Amino acid sequence: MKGAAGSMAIVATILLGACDRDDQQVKVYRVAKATLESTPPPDATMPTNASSPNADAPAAPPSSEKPQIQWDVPPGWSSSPASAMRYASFAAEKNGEKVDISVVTFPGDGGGDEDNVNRWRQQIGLGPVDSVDALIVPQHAGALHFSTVDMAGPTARILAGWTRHEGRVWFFKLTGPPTVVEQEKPNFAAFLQSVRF
Amino acid sequence: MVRRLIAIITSLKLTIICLVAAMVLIFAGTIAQVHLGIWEAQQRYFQSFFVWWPPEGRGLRIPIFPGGHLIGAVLLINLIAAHAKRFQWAWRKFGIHLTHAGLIIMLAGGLFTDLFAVESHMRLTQGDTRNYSEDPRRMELAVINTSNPEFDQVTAIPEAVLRRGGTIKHKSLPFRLVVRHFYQNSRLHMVSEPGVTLQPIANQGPGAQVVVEAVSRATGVNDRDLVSAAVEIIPAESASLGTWLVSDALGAPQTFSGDGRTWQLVMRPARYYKPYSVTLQKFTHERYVGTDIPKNFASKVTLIDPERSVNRNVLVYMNHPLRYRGETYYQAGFEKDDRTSILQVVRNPSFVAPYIACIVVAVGLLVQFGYHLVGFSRRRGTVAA
Repeated sequence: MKGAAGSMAIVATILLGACDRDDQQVKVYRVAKATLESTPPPDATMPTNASSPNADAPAAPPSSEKPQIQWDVPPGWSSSPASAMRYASFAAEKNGEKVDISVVTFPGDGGGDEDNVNRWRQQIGLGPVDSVDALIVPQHAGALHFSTVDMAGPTARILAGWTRHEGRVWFFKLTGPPTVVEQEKPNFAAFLQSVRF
Repeated sequence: MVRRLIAIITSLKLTIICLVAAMVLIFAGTIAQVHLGIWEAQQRYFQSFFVWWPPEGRGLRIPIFPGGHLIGAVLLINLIAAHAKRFQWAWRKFGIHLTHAGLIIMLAGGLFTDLFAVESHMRLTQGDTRNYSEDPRRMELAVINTSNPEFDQVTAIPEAVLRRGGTIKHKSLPFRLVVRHFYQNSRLHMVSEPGVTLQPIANQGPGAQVVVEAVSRATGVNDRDLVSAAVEIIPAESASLGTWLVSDALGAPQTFSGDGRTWQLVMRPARYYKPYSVTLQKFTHERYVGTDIPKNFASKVTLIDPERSVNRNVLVYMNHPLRYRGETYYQAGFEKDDRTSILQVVRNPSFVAPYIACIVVAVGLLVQFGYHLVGFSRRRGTVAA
């Protein structure tokens, strides 16, 4: 009888202790600012699960980081200040008319292509379409696969390209008056081609 | 009274009630996955002590059915208590004792795994080095003091704390954070977009140009909620620093000054830092010839642990995980460009429990049946003689 009561008490105590979940607690920790370094061991061509202690192993301080991406800015484009919504911004001007180029990134898949394309259509005064597949043109830039659209409204035109990489989606969008956008189209295509991670 | 309670706790009726309740719960939880998705259904039905109604909100909530944790715990208590009450040492019962001990280990191990195991992901593109894994299902608001040139001090506030709302104070912060709005799932729009009628919920930073639209929770296996919140920063001895929008969709951290120091504010997947780093050297994705059907995924990683002077290569592939410092790295997925590997990182302090339980149950059954077999053979021999 005593054994039964004792065992109940032990299990109940464990359960009550477990109620204080770690994922509900505020945590404080320090993260070194230095960049992580990586030096493969000498036998890098021979993967093995056997331990090979190396007393001279480089220190690997922790770091915080943001998504890494590189591109070549076409001639005639100038950088504008980036905002928290925009990873990068550029502007170009022809005959006193300006186009705006934005680079925006979101984690996940960034919503459906249909929603995005229809939102852009709305921005340039076009109505939504049921299927956007016919509007999307695939484009390759090295190992990257872009989906692109070119849509012109009454007063504005949008060129957009997007790609998904490492759990994020990257949107590249050029917006402006139709005539300037037409002139900037080769630059925008070259810009997409230069994107690399 | 105690005697009556013990009679209930040790009764076989309680076992039957628990098993029936478990069947009902599993049925209801499985059906609920249609609308809630697997993750939310698991949380509400199986990884909880009660199933609540209404399921969310801060008002009055009523428990309408025992949750998985409660049923498992009662079953465990029932099994241990019944065994302790009726325990009698005899060789002929040794196998039964062992079998029950195995079941107890199995149940306790399952409960411990549910309560204490942590699953996260490490996403690496070839050449990347990481010393943390992330939980894509749980967000955290990181308030980072960047004033020190050597290190950043991070105060990580879990999504669950933001969801509760109210005021958040912590000794590492010289200000308090007041949660003004919280959205479990949301979509952000620029306030300048045509057709936007909502008002911004923040008045500082880029959030002042953004409106937040509340949307229903993501239910697909691969879908994620986009958690957003508006927090007001109020220093102890000066005026409010305004209300800031924090959202996973904002990407880059926002910067502000407070208490003479520079701070960053960012909503991101909860991070678990490690005392070692992992570098992806090469990701291999083999397909069956002439098809797109995957044959094998493998990640060649370099593990560097300065504390233990470890610097070695490891090949992680299907059914061949890397186990290190209590964590197991499984090859879980890859990105479409075949250069990015996703490793599932599991910390489960009781991962050996099912193995031990199976061995103990198997030995118990062998002993029990063996004992009877030997007795039967002897009796038969005696009769034949």
